Amino acid sequence: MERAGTEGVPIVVRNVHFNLGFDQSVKGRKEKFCTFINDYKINMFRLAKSILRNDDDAEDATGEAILKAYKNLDSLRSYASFKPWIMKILINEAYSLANQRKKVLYIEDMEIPEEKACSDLRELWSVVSHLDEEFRTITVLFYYEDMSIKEISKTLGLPSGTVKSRLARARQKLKVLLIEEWGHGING
Amino acid sequence: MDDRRFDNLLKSKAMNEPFSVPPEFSERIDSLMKNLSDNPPRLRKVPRKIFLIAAGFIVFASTAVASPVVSDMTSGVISYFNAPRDFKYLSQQAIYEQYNSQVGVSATDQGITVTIDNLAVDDNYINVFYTIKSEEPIQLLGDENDLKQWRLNWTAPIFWFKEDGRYIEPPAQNEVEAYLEDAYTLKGMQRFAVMGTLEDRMNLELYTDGIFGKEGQWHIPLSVDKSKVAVESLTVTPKLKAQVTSGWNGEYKHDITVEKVSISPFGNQIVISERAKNTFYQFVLKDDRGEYLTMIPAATYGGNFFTKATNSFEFLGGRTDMKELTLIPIVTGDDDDGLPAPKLVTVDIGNDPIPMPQGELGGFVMDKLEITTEKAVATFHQVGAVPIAEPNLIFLDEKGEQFDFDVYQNSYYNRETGEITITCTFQNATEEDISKVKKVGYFTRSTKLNEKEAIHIELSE
Repeated sequence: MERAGTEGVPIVVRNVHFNLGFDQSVKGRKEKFCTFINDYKINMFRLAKSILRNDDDAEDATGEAILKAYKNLDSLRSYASFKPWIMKILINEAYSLANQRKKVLYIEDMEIPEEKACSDLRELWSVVSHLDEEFRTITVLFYYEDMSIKEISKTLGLPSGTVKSRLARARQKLKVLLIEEWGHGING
Repeated sequence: MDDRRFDNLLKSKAMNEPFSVPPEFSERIDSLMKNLSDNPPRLRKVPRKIFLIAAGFIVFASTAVASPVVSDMTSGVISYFNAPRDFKYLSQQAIYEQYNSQVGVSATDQGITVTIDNLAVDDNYINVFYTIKSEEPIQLLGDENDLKQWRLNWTAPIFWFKEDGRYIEPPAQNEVEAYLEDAYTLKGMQRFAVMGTLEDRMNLELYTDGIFGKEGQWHIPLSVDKSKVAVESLTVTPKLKAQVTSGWNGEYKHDITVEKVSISPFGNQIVISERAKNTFYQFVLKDDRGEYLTMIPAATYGGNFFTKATNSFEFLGGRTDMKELTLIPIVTGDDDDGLPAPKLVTVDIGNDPIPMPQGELGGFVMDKLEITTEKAVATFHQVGAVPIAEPNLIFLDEKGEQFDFDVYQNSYYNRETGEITITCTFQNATEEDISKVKKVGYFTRSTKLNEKEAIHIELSE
């Protein structure tokens, strides 16, 4: 949930859960599923792109994840957990696709067109793209998806301690990269 | 910059950073969803052999209750309320026990027996109190991270209804609450808003096709007489057509029909229909004494140009001697509408009551706040005109920073007193965290009344 604060700085209301219900009716199940997908489709695409680095593959992974999720809708036991559930399916699809196409690019392999790189570097996304793969997904889930350590841990199937330590290392790397981009202010 | 400030800065940037998707990405995903089958496959398929055996039970169950049981709304004890626990509708126990019928009719399928214990029907609500016994231990839906009460409510089945063989259109939100009597027995209650009208005397069939993840058929036909409770109600069906607008700049037009207004012992509602994707819900209700009435937030259905969507909105404070009810569109909007951004207001706790205006027209007053390591319980009442939304509470430390622990928010509206209770159950909060809670935050946002489009509804036919 995102709201704007007193000084125009967006305020993210964190970790508040509302009972969205658990509709068991046939008609309700499809409608509810589609409503939730509509809410998360861009987030799904962004996460897939952080892994696959390619629009076409990211869209394929998103589509495949939606089909797989719908097929396994019974495994979703609560819509309160929809986001980690769908993101986990998406991550599996993205890695599966990456393995098939051998397209997981590491930073040293990645080619960023020079002109585009210059114009984009101010964006956080561009900086995140410079992280190694092991930090990238965690960074997207934590900063872009505002997921808690516990949710990330469930989504990635990693112990909370591992998530915390990877996040701490990602944070340090981001600080270094962002000082280069945004100046020393963030380290003050 | 410490880690928390750095994280907040990055989250804030991430939330606002534009992210481009390929052209027509949304359209392709929409098309993919449109082509999904209407019946999502279920993991727990019932083998055909078992289904055929079960069919025998269906006939038996239906035969056993072929002669409908006559249910008259008289006073009687409802066993559901015996459990020593917090029950959302406890405040209404007296009125339910004044007008209900002892039923005691069962249907069995798939090793699951449903018994309707009590039925309480008036012009607005069908309230069913039931017991379900399963041959197998009952597995709750949801997972261990979810609130136990939510899991119980999700696990309880939803019943559908037919009046004299005619399907009764269900509301977008069915209220269900349940508890386990033992590992094999669930006691539940369902509160079903009737958006049309019901005859005082009717054949009412309750049915469902899924309980505890098993597909089956549970049908219970009853004969109901609600004439004793109907005299305590005020119901009009004006079919009043009106055009109203919503959005901060009035950009959304709605052709609505006020189908029904009803004030009855089990609750009050206004029923509105329209053929539009975005449902009109931005309004307030004012009674004939000039009092703004508290509206209870609930889910709504959306329709389209071809399909009419009918929605029920429950309100508090109605009287059966009311002469008129006024619906006034309230103008607010979304972030995209050019509406001034909401402001986060923080207040120190400990000096109840605390006024929490939601906008220029009114808001809530927090009368009491009690915080323990497990939960915070706050009670509110509404003052003035407020859009349909429950009070929000954000827990903050002395510096106005949020905490990392999870909060599960539940609301309950006391239909008798108008008191609103918000219960925030904490997960992973330590005693130290709770000791640091010094402030609460809430949002205010600009709102204005659109008196020009007010709809006056006469409450006599």
